[in-house]
Amino acid sequence: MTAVATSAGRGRPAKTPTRSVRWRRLTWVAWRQHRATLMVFVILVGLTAIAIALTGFVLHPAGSRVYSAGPHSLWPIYDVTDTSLRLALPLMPMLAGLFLGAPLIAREIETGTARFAWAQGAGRTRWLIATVVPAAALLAVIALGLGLEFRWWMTPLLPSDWAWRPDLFSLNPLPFIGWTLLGFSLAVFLGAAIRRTVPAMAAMLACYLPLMYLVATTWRRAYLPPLHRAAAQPTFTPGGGYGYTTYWGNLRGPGPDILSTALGWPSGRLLTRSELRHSAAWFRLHHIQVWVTYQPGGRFLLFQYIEFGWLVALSAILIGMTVVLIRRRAA
Amino acid sequence: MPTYLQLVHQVEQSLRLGYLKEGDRLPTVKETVEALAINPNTVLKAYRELDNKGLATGRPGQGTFIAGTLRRVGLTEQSELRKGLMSWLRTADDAGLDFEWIEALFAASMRDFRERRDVASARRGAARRADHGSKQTRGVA
Amino acid sequence: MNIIESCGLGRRFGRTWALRDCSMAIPAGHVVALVGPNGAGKTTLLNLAAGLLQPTSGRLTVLAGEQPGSAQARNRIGFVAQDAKLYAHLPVGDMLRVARNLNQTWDGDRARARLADLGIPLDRKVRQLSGGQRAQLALTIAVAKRPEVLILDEPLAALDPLARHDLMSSLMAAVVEDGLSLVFSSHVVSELERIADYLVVLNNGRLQLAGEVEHLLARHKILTGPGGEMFVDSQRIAIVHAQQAGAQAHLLVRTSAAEDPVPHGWQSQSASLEELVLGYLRDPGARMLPGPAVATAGGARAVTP
Repeated sequence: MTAVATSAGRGRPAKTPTRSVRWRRLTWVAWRQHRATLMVFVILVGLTAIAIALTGFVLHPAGSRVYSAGPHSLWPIYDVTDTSLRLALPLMPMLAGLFLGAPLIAREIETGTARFAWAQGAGRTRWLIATVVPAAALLAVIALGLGLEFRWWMTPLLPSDWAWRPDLFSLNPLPFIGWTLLGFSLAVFLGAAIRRTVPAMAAMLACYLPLMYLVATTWRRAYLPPLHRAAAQPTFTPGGGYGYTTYWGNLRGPGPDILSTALGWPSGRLLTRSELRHSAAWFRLHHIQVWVTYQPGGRFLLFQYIEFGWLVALSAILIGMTVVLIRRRAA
Repeated sequence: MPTYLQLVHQVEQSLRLGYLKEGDRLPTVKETVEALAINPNTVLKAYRELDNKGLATGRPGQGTFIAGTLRRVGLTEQSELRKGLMSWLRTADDAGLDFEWIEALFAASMRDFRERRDVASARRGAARRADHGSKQTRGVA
Repeated sequence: MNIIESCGLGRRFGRTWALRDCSMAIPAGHVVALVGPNGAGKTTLLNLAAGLLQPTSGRLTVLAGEQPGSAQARNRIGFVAQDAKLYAHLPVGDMLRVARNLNQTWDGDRARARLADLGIPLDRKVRQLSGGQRAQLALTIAVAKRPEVLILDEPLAALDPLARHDLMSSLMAAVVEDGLSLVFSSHVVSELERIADYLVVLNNGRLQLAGEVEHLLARHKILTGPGGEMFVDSQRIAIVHAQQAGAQAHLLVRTSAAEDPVPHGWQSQSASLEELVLGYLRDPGARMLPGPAVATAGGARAVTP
């Protein structure tokens, strides 16, 4: 039986010229797929940025006088904006992860369109990279912008050590980029591993929230070994610029030397909240020596780099794992 | 009946009824295939069979054209054949076959005869093409 | 060239073997029908050939030695998965553009002309198309990348009879126009005789039958005869499947190359493709496979009578 091609003759016109797959075209595909989500995200971010800018212009001239009460007080504006920002901004990496990262691959596998995309000439790896990397870059830029804007907003309004505070440290520009990238890449990886969008979202929250909490309360203090210093009373702000203070003191019954529970020091007892409010005289009376564990202000930028570094490294590892996973996976 | 033979018989029927005349172009393989949703090789086979039978020839680049006509059977020949049939029917009737039995017998015989004849004509056509090919090379030389 | 060649191919999902010990060599230039009941392993085999799955055991190559899923294979094979999932929220024009961007070779004019012929407007969203239109769109995309081989997984399954006919005629026209080899799976056998010229039968993950349709039909007959004892010389004639219908017995038999005499008292007629496939499917132990290296040489294996 002669093959059809030879009998029917080569009726095909000349083959269209081959060209290597261009990244811009692949990126267009990813954009076209996810442009709705991206647009919503960008609009939300834009609104937030405008809100920050407006309230900032209103509040800054007053400086620290926002705290004062009175007939023309700006306190309500400050209070509302401050609280909302401190809630909303850390959410942004989570939102990026949940709504942009988790569906990125999981939805394609769920709906079966991955089988179409992966059977085409470009192949899975290039498709994956063109889908993930531009989105990550965009998120990094947004995070940088918001972080800088937030710092501009906060600086005149709080004592200089505000940026060290556990709940606010991650909103500094560099750590903010790191957290955003981590949220996104964690969701992308979990989406590729779990292959269903909603369970991937849940898994992402289950990993991300505890991690955020742990870093803020415990791990961040351990980036570099803290310093210790005797203090007259618990409130203590060493140095100028940004000081990082832990209000720990120690008590070991009556006696001349009471030490803190810093690393390597003989253990004592942590002061309770009520004890923290006593004056220096009270402590002298009770023969209690208060020690303070702290990170000096000069380390602030270093800490930001450390946090940024490990977050970005972890994000890169997660993306790498995603690539490996997709290459090996069945469709 | 194999599909390609069905196509061949369709063309023969069109010739018989006058829908196709000598010189008419048969539809291209693509047109037939699109209209009937059948395998292209089937169409090619049918066109080859028509070529074997001398009913159509392919001109490269132009298509397949009707080249011959079905042999017409003369009236005297037809009446002779009818007489033969009638006498056979009388024999069958005398033997006790009813009409359904006769029809079944006739249908089976016609089917067998047709199959054998088509196989034989395919062999003839292949032999003729081989012969024609060797004649051509001799001609060129 | 063999478009699909496998040796001992197997694929396991968890503890179940979806495909087992599959050795075949499918030649180019044919319309290949892959048939078998639901769950026989047809989708698994096609996904393996498209590079969307990895084999658990054995080897598989496509297009004379390429690895399935490699860049070469992806560019030269057009694959349409079951239910042809495309991006539902995109309009047809953007869907075409996505497909163009994902491929190296692309004949956009031809694709648009085809869609115009079919009456599919470029601004309608994919999810608003009918089932038949979506199947035609998926086929248009697969053909527009100018492949050498088209692999379709159950392309007719969800279509009404008119859409089926239209899709088949489009497919056959593409085969003629571009000289494509076509491999498609189906669990409906009745329509295949007009379309397929190479047949692969899978049953329960195993290969039962593989060969050119003409050759297979020439080698099988249906013997009809008196029921009860069957005095058929099973040394010379291999019985594939025997069926009793009241006082009559119908046997699907495989004959050797030479013309075998019909046993006394039996009538023989040629088998249709449907009868052939059904006979083998009813008897899962029966096999007729060509040797792995040669596509069309018929090598019959022993068959239990």
